[in-house]
Amino acid sequence: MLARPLLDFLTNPGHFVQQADGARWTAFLQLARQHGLTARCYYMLQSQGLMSQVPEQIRLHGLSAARYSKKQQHSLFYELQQLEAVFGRADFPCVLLKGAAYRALALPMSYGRLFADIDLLVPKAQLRSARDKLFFAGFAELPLSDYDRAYYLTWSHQNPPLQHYQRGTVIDLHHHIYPPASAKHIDIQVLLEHATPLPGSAFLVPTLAHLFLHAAVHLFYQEETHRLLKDIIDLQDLLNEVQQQQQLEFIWQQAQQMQVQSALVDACQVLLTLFDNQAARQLLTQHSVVRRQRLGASLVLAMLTGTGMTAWAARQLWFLRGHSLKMRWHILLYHAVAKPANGLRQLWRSKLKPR
Amino acid sequence: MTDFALNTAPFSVLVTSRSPALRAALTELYPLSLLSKVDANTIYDFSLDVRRRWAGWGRPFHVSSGQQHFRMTDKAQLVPVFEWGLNWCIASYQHQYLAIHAAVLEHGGKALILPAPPGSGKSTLCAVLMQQGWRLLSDEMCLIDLSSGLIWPYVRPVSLKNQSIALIKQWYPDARVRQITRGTTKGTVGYLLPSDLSWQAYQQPAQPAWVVFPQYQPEQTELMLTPLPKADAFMHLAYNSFNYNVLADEGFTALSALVQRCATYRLEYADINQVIRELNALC
Amino acid sequence: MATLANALTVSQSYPQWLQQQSDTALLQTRFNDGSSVAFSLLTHETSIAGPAVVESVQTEAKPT
Repeated sequence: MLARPLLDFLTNPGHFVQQADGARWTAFLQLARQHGLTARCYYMLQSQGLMSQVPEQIRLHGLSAARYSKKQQHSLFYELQQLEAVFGRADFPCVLLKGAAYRALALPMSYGRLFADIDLLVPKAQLRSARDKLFFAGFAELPLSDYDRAYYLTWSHQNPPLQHYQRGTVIDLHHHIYPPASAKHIDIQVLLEHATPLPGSAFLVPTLAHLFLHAAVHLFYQEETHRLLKDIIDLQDLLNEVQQQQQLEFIWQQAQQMQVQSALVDACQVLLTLFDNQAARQLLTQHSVVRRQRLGASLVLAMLTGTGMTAWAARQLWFLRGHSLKMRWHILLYHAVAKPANGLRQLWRSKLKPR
Repeated sequence: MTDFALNTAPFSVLVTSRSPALRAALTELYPLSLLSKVDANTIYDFSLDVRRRWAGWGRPFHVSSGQQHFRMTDKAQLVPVFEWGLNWCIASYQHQYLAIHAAVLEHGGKALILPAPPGSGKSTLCAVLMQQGWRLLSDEMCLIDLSSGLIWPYVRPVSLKNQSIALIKQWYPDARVRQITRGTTKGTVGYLLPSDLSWQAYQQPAQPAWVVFPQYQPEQTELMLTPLPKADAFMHLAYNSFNYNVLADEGFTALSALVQRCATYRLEYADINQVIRELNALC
Repeated sequence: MATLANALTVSQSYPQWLQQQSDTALLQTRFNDGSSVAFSLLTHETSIAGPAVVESVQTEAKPT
């Protein structure tokens, strides 16, 4: 991966700031924008007291990005406020996930963290009810083909994305954190049970341990790579929070209950190797799994730090691995047969349409 | 590789390109002192890749910033696509200034802001005023400093479209219009070189003094310069801004201060000579 | 011209923000020609302020 200067910055900002010449900073700026991490880096520099050592030009670009992220923060808060009445009257819990949860809690990792949509989780039995409530609050599904819509509803863990007709905000309404139709069976009951209400709000947030486990599942049980660096840095910051709030034992126990230990171990192995993360070391040592590096962890490390062929090969393997985890053979078959068949049908229909 | 740097202010750009064509074309548009080899000790604000994928002649060029693709183009349209690509980088990423889609010129230390949608004659008007001795700050982007309220120049060649190229050449036979490209998405595009005065002061800000919303009205016989309520001017400026929404309260405060200190007008005109007289009379 | 008491800070959590919000949190500018604009800190909408809003303006922007 060509993101080395950015990875170097994230691993040790202090060292990077001391060593960087113009060329390194130029590459850093470019990569930080590409990965949506400019504002995040700005706040890292600020919290670590490094800003005075940073060239003015870099500080100003960081500030630019910070302004953008602040606008996003406001949009999120305003949107949640608009939804308070909707979920305040509901007789089921609505849990904020991912970026929305980090931001609502004002975790330091959320400073400058960009997000594209608002992720909400409701119990599966109430998905339809939640969707209807959101509809009356102005949120409708984006146009989708029948096939894609059926796919979302049958196989995935969320409703098709919902967009507000005026404000343009997009909500991803989940009933699970992972496709229930996949080979992995993840139990999210404990996540729901431990979720705590935000004071003065109708929304709940998962514990830090569950937020971490969700992020780890999100990264290690799928095939995408374009947000790799952002996902890794999220995990790093989250695990440090988990440790600070003394939830390390809890997280191990919860991972077992949810049957996601492998994602936790993968994440810890990557964080230990890249950042020498002490919480990761503690977890791995206590549960004596430190020796053998798991495939998921090895692939992520190869994609992040490997060069040329190694990184390329790792990406191919990662893709295969992610797909096989997410989909069982009969879903793959459905995809392979139904989607082209549907395409043919639509082509046929369009040919028959009167001109 | 023929990487090079374009050291415009307040933003510089590092260009990665395998073809010497773009650099050669840009030497016609920018002072040679601003085009340089890449210096490892300089931080460049933006990076643009301009290269052919799947190497080979006749393949289109891809203009992109990192993995964010901007546009594909053949060699003939490389210059306009590069210029638009650079504008795109700035419009997407810079929130250091409140940026308004407007031309800015300066006279006697005071800046005239001409915000306007495409088709209002903004670029032509901007070109004419520059030829009349006003200093060009920008034909596209009015950059307002959020703390001082000053306008920072972003001197680049003035982009002229379609009929305005012929008009400018007719009115000012010595005007230097270069790199005329036909058949772009915006029609024929040509670049009028900034005056020497404009380049000499390319890092010198100016105090905003007038906001004039131009509208070319071919049937109009008498020019109309009508004072515009400041609240209306504010709303139009906000609407024409690239990042007013992003800047939220900071944007509101900066724009309020700017409108407060400026005289604000609507300008309806047909005859360019009347415009020159009227705007010169403002000073 | 403006009161920034309600401006958002990065360390603010959603519950903290929620507590501070009110529908009337406005930034207002009254121009030296008498016209006026307002920015809602809650909705982030900008509008030309009507007479009612203008009357509630506490301090005016200084003409230059």
